[in-house]
Amino acid sequence: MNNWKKCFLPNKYFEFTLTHTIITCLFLLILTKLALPSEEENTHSIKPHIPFYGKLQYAGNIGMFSIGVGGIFLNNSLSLDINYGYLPKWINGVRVSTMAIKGAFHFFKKQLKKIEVNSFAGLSLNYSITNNTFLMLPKHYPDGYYLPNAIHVCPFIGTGLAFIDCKTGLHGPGVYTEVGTVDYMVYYAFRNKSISLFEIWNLCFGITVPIVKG
Amino acid sequence: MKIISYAGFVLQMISIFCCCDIIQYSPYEADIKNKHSNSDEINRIKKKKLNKSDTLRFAFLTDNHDNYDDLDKAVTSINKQKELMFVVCGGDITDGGLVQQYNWYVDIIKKCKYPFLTIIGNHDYLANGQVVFGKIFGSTNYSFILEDYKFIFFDDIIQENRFKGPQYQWLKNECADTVHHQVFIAHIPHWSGLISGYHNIIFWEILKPERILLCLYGHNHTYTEENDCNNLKSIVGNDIEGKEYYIVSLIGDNASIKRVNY
Repeated sequence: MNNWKKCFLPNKYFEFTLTHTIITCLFLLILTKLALPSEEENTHSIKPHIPFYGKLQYAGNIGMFSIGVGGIFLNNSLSLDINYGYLPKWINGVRVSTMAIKGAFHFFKKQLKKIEVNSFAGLSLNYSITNNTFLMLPKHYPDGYYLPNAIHVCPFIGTGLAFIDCKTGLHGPGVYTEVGTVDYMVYYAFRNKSISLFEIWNLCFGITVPIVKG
Repeated sequence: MKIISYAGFVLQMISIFCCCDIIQYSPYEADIKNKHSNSDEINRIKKKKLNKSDTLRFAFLTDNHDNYDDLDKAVTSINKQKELMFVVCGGDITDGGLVQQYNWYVDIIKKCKYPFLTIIGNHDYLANGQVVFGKIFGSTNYSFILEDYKFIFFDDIIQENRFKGPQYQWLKNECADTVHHQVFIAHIPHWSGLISGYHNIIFWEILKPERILLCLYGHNHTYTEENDCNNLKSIVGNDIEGKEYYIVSLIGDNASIKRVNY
């Protein structure tokens, strides 16, 4: 039990971090190799589509794990999903529930045989419930004393791949990784020279599964 | 589009190799990067040798909120000061009580060559700030004795602490010491509108000028010197954006303040 718990505690266990980093590097190198093929490489012309999907995500500012459902619109270029994430108290002492609406523009796609690789960027609007967070200022504070602190806007950019049925053009399960940040961190990095723009990003991983075939 | 795809990939690689926290579950989490325990800092202070003939001097600054650059400059300037015993930050070290904000603060104060003590402010209580503060600094109420002086650091936050109330009994016990001169340090001035009604009365009952040499506060973002109705000498520090900190000198039963601009 304890060993399993330790595996999910970031930056405390070097071995896990190292393994995690190596796996991520390999994963991203494969994605890049697939996403940027040579000129001669043949590609298929079938237009895959995945109108609705379910997803499971690890980390990424919306909890330790989150689940969500969403769809792809506008000729497969815009995805929109709603997510619920949870951070249990035993991880680092606080319990956080988060609802997030994520919209992403898929700006690059490449289909290679049975795999489609895509890159996307977007914004997530996160509403979290934990201690001392609020949307409306509690009455015991003077007007305008604090700004609402339960909502954050989180920009992200990511890469994913999904398996495709070449005959029907339908998506199968897929995986993705994102690098994202939180609104206040971007503001702080621009406001303070002592905070580097490089240190405000974090990673998440997820899987998608089609739930309704179009 | 390929360029953006490359940029995304490069960003991901940077986040893996350069970022301190590649995994963040939530901005509200309490996964601290470094501890900076006040009790460890007090042990450092007690190990320092104080020349009896010398004045006891320490620096006081407060309310850095989201201004880490000026905090960094203040620490650089304080490091150039000679013969300080320690440095105190008077609270509101974060703007929203978020763990990353605390981590950035700790990264900067670790550069200080003098022991650095921190008290909690009302902003530090927001979100899970109280939990994070406890993990990094320890208790929000603490005290220590150095030579003829007793330094009392008191958490006087009420609203953000969900009206659980300051630990008045603890304060009363600490102030009952009649042997040492006392220096009282808290975030919100005890005459503030946020400390009203019976809280105000309790403060006036506990804080007596016969024993307390000086009160130091933050919160108001403006430098003021006050003598309350108890004739208690109090100083409210300007925020870090005012680009000043204070050198407090204690000699016998006298306390003097020097404003330092950097």
